[in-house]
Amino acid sequence: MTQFHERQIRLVHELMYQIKVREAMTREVVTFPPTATYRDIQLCLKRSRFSGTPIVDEGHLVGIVSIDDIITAFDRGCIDEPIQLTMTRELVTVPQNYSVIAASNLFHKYGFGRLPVVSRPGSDDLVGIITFSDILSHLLLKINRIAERVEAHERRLVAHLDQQRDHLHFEIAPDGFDRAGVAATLTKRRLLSRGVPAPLVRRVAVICYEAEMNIILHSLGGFMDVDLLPDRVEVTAADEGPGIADLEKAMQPGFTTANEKIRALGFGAGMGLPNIKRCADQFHITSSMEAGTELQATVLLPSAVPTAAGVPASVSPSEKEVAHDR
Amino acid sequence: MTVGDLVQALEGEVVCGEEHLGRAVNAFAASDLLSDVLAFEKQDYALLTGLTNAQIVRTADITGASCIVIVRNKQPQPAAVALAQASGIPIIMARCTMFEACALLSRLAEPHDDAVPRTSNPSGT
Ligand SMILES: Nc1ncnc2c1ncn2[C@@H]1O[C@H](COP(=O)(O)OP(=O)(O)O)[C@@H](O)[C@H]1O
Ligand SMILES: [Mg+2]
Repeated sequence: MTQFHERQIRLVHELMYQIKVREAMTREVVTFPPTATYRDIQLCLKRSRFSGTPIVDEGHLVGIVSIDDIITAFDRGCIDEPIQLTMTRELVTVPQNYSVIAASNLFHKYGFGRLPVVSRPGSDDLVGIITFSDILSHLLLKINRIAERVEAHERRLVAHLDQQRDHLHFEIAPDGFDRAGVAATLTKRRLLSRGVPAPLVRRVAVICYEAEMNIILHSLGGFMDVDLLPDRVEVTAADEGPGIADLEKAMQPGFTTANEKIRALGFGAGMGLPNIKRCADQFHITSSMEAGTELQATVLLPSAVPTAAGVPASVSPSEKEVAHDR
Repeated sequence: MTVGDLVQALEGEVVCGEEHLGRAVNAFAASDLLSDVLAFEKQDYALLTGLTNAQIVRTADITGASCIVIVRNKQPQPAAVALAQASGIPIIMARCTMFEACALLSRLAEPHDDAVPRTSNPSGT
């Protein structure tokens, strides 16, 4: 048996102990007085879907007549006699506050199809009737409700996680000029669909586009990650080299090592890095000939607009350092 | 001004995106350097360029341009047209040069310049 099955069986078992007879029983019970004949009851049972009926005498439960009893009465020829003459008075009942497992054990022990439910142990005050199928349907109902709750919980959890953290990852090949902008466009669409305000999306998209373009034009290939967090969007662009020889120079507007071919395509104006920095609330770039170039740009979302002091309301210490790097 | 007005003024040919001719044009950017355009702050603008590659559409899409005008009657590359159709950005081919297009559109964008004389040089003699 799998662990999953074991868990399900354990759940059913636990529920059988938890559910009270009161919850699963049928309250509207058709009863007959002891003066009724077997035929009266037979006609009633024929009309209804019941297979037995309790006999109540002035508010006291005194017996139960089932289809079996009626067949026996036919055999004996006493079908038109009042039931009180032949009815068995040894009655098995179940108190309403017992668990359905107790009722189920009684069904099993006596082979009955139904049990009259009484208000308290030892009482003859009828409050309902319970069958095995009542127990089963109530059990299914309960399991269904639990499943629904679990599902709703999971949905909320997923939605919450979705909201909390949206992660996009793009592998960027060198020399893929034709594919440049794909990551930026996808990022734009995703952020808009997540309700990020359009002007901020535009800033993130420009950052992505220029960062993507730099990896394509100037590096041996790399990747870009975009993280949508509750208070900010973080763009990380990293490549495998060859690195930037003079970072300070590269950050200057107009500085470029791009060739004529790239310029003819509309890039290589030396405006990329400065524009990324301008669009970002926090910007950090490192580069080495060994490890390549890594750029991190953060755009803050309205929930974390910088405070009067100029420091974003909710940044961790490590990010503050990044912010100071500007 | 709408994209449609602009097409009329330039006697341009709509390559794709006819369904968006009603879109407003509130500003203009004329450049063959897309990095320059990416540093442009405005939205709902017409991008005038001599470039024909797909990156003009990427740039227009990312910065929220209303349309792209390619000057000197150059054909946009098929990849650019496909991308423009997918992103819902009209591409217009204009016969004129960049300079002529700019001159025409600047007159159209400020129609009152001719009608109302400017009260400049208040300290003049
Ligand atoms: N990821 C990178 N790897 C290596 N060199 C880079 C990278 N990004 C930028 N550079 C260098 O910095 C210069 C300036 O970059 P940028 O401001 O984006 O302008 P452009 O890309 O137009 O040249 C580039 O010309 C290039 O020499
Ligand atoms: Mg660049």
